[in-house]
Amino acid sequence: MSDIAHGSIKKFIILYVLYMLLAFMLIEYESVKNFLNLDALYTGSVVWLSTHLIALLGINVSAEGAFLHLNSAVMEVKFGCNGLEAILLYCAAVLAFPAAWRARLIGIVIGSTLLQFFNLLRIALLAWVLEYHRNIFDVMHEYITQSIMIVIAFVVFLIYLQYVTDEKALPQ
Amino acid sequence: MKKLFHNKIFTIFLYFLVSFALILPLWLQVNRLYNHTLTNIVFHLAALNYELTITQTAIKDKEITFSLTNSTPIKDFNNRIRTIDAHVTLDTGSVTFNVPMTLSLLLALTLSFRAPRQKKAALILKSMTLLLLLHLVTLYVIALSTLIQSAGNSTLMHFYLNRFYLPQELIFNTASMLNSYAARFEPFLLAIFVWWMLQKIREDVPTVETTDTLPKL
Repeated sequence: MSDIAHGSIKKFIILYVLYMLLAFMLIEYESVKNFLNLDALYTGSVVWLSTHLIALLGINVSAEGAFLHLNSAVMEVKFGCNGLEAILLYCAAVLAFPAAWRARLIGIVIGSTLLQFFNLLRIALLAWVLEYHRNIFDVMHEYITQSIMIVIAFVVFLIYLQYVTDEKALPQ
Repeated sequence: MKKLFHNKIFTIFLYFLVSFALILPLWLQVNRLYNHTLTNIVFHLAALNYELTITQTAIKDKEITFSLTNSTPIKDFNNRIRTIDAHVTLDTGSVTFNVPMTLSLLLALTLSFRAPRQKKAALILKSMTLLLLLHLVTLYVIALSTLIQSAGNSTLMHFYLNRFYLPQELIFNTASMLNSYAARFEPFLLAIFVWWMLQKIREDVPTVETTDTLPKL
């Protein structure tokens, strides 16, 4: 872990913010959006996967664009809800931290898959709350599940840091 | 060594869950006060920036509605005095929702590592002050963006605001970036910062204290 302590936090933060800006431009900029709407494509696949997971909970569900039609409510999967944001948070950190490109690539692939898995669970949990415990939906959506996703992204990044440190410690 | 590290991650997550369970109910009691205070401060600054006067502030649930008028008199082509009567509504909950999460995460990190208490307290204080400043900046940009958007609803407001340099696209994009991205990456980045600093403290401390008091990864 000494690499972390000796590394430059300033450099990491600057690179991190730059990568986040780049991600913002790729996803939110109108001209890029008109050419390739990554967010919509991503949301579509997340909605499709979510319907299968929600159906496993015994809830009748159908998908239409970014909307999930439940028995008694409709859920819209927006940018903050589709998991892309948590993945970007994590990937920016992986890219900003000095490591071999192979390790970064492995970190991005495995970490992003893990995060998306947790996000699908989050959407299914929110659908269940919306169906059966609507009174706590706002707190669950705004605070609890959103916060836990960000903390999971942070924990996955810590695991990545350990992986990178172990890789460096291995005799060449 | 690896096992210990993974235990440490588990400890951090566990501490986070406990801290969050304690802090969230408290935050739900005070969040409106925090949001409304900050929104008031930044909206007054934004209005001042465009020579607007706030005539009335109405709070309804999460939202605050500001009634605005022009500070500088406006006359039309017929030399009649015209007055702006605009109403702008803001809900800033999507920016400040990260307070309980950030505080819980910072507490979890500082509780998981041994370091002098004063240094831990200073780290939390520094990080939370930084978060407050980031909230102020974010809300200020959102207030500017909302004000500019309000010009689209009134010709008079549009005419009045056009006297100022308005990099609309830049302000809209910055507000969108801060609202959608920064609110999420602030806690993440602050947590990495605190983690980093704790590693540094941990490496510095053995020169003055015995090493067996510190966790080794």
